[in-house]
Amino acid sequence: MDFKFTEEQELLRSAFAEFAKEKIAPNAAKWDEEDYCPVELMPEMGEIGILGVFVPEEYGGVGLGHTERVMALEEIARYSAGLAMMVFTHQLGMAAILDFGTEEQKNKYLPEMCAGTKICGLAVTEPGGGSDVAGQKTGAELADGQWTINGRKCFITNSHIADTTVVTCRTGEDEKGRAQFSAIIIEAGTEGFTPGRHENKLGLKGSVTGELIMNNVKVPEGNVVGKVGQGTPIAMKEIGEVGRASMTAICVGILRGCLEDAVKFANERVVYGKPIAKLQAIQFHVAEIRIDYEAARLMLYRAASVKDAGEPAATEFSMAKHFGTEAAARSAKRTIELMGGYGVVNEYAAGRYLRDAMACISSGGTSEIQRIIVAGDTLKRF
Amino acid sequence: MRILVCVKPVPDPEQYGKIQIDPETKRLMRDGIPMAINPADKNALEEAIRIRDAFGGSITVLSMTLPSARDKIMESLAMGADEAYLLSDAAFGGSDTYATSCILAEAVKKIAEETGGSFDLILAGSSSADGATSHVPAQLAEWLKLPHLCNVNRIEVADKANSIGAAEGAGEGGCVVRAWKKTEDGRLLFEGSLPAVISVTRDLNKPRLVSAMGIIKARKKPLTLWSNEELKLDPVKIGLEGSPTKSGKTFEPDLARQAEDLGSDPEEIADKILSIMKKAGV
Amino acid sequence: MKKLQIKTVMVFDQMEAGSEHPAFFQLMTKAKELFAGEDVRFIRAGMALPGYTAGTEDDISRELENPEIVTAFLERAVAAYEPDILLLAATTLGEEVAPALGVRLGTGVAAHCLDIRETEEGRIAYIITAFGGRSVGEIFIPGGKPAIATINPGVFDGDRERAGSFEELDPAVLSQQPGAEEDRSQFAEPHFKLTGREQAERSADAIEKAALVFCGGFGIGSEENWQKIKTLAERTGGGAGCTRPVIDMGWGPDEYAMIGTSGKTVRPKVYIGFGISGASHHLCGIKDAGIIININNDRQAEVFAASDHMGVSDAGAVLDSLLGKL
Repeated sequence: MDFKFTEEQELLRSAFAEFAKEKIAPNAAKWDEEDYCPVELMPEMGEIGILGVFVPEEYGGVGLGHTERVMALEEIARYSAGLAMMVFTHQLGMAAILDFGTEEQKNKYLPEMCAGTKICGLAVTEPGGGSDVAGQKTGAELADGQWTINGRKCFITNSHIADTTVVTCRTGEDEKGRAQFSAIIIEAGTEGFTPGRHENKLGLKGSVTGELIMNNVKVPEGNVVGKVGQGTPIAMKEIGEVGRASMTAICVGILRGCLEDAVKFANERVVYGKPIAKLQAIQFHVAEIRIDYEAARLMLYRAASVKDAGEPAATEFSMAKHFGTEAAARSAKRTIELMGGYGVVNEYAAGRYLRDAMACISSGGTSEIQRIIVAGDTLKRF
Repeated sequence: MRILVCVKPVPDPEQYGKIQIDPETKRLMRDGIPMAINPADKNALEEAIRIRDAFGGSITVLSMTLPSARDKIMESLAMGADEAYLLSDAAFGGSDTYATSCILAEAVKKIAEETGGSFDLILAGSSSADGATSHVPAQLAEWLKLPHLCNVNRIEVADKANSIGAAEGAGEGGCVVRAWKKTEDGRLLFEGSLPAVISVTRDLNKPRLVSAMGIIKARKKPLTLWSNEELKLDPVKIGLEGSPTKSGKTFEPDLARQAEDLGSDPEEIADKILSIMKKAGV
Repeated sequence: MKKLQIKTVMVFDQMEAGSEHPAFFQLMTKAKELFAGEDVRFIRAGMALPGYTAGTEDDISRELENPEIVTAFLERAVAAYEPDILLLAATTLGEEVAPALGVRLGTGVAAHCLDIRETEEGRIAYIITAFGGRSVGEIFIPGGKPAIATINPGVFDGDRERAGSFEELDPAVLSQQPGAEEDRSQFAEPHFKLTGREQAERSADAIEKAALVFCGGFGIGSEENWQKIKTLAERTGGGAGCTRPVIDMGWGPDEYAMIGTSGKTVRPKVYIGFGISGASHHLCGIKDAGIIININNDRQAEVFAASDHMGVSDAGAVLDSLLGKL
């Protein structure tokens, strides 16, 4: 068992970290305050290799794995969880095309997405709920070699900025009469396909979240990703692994922000003639944050290495996501407490960390959903 | 165009605030401070990449450092250098700039000898963030008997006929260089022919960020480790023994200063401030 | 090298507008203080010697600024006078000439010295900094002849009067040196020829790079005074910085102007603070400044304990006086 990153992975991390420090750190607070989505950074992230790090070279990627992908997200989220949210959703759609798409679809979409000149999204959730996949009402009917799609998706990240969105649609019933779903690619600008409401979120600001409305949208039959009827497994696999891995990575980034800011503040803030870091009450906060950070990090990278080894990792990611998001929220709260009055002043990032962590808890399945998944696996296994 | 760039891994300058001095041993405690490529050396490498991409040729990185800083040399390959030599030996330890530049010069000669071609241009950062003597580039040039120009913030290379195509492989004396040396009150433009050693400042250019693709490519680029077994320098001439300067005690700077009273009359204070500014040359 | 062994001290003068450079007097003053004694010679190594270096005024000024020529010249001067110690100002010229000479003469060079001291054992210690001023250390050059040191301009206090008298180089003595002939051809045809000159623009620079920094604290009291600080910076080509409260009060600057451990670290030659209280995180951000001047109307302000010069006065009034004179 080796808990060390390779020399190459360490180099990648420092390359990602340098990018984040230079391009993200100085602007993160502003993006949060203005709820501004920095799409102009996408080509730069493409050039650095962040967007397509897990995509094979033949499709314009770097040819590495999900360990390296979440590493990049952690470094981005250290400064801007909102931007990391946008990046990973882009990757979520790419992963669906990479894992299930035809050769033609991969060649058509992935190179530009790796380069960041085109933005991707994945739309599953509907007003009826996100985790209730079978309850989706958006429908697609096939006639004359064309899908006609009608329905509404909500809480969709990149809703207003994606050039290409993979949308899950009800496409029929199986022999037992159960609803069948398919994943279908819709490109921005297609007639009848419009973004709707733009949500004003508590946290993860800077990522665009909103509705997608499909009103008699017509796309070619060949836009279906994978087989007809494969929509549910595609959504479950990508959200369960790529999505939750990413949410955990974002929270590990937030945790590192908490840790670094808390330590810096504790060392600098002088009360009663000495830095508050000398006070045991403050030291306890620092220790708790450190433990949360280290544990979340271990769970994240272990789950990522399981996935990169080609084994099923959904339970590992559920556990990591549950722990990581909750840990980020409590550590952000601790950081605010440690800072006293300064903790609630928006010049300090601690308040933003808390809002971002809270927003992570409900994305990609709530903590309750994660517990159900973990319990399901646990009751079978032990 | 064959370019050599000197690169020095240093403790990350952004974290120097964390450096403490052990009150007992008076030694610097730099535990936990990660290494980084000396910032100005990155500018040198960036300039080398631009020149190579315009003229063709190759970039060799040369570094005397600890074997544990190998990853920083990999980083310079990931940025775009073509090959690297890492010099490391216990015998090199404790070298001052005089001995260090002597070792580097020996390596430059040996690389040229073994690869059958000398360097047209040697670039380095003008100053390292840690020791900050800014002496090594000029001293390296002196050992190599090459002309040097330090503290340069703009470089233009052209072949003598001013046609870029003909410059490829032009080799000795085939290229001219225009270099702007920063001074206290502006810049001086110097012109000369290559080969030469030029040290550069951080405002020369903006070093590119390392990309993931660059890191993957770096895997396949040659990185050669040399110790003194290869360089065969007389141990008396290198390391502590070969260094004409010797370090003494180290201490922590004191924030306290002795304040001289400028009085309380605004006009009088302003006059005194102006005279202090003038004396300091600002 | 022990102080008693130093019998000949040479100080390089890089000249300015045809006469002695101010840094030369600073170094000579310090050299006199440290080394004065029976039979100790003090020599000014100034170039532009009639009959030795080249003719026209234009040629001379080009020679004076070309490190290659200055190095060759000093190499000859050292051979002729055999000094035990050679001091140069740590200018961009001095910092290129000194190390080159070090290799040619096989001797050690102490760089960017903050001080030169005699230790208790009578040894000469050169005080240098490392790690961006985080550490200060002693350097010795035990066997070097001459020991060479470059000293930051402004570190030593000194002037023409205090420098007193010193010897000048004799062109005839230099000309007798082997290699002097070659020097002359090198002076005429150096490898790197100086072909152009640009004066620096005096524009407001990034505060980290500025040689002069004006900084406002809570005590400036108004947006108007912040504007005055900015105007001063613009007029002098310096930088304008502030502490946290100035941003919080909305007097104008943004986060990028904040100096301190959570903001920028500056190391200007001269720092002038107005209405700064002296919180340690701000002081840590300016600790490497050459000269720290502070203006505060509270004589008890903590900042004065970390200042080289203090003015107990209203910040706004001093700003007005400065603006009137600049």
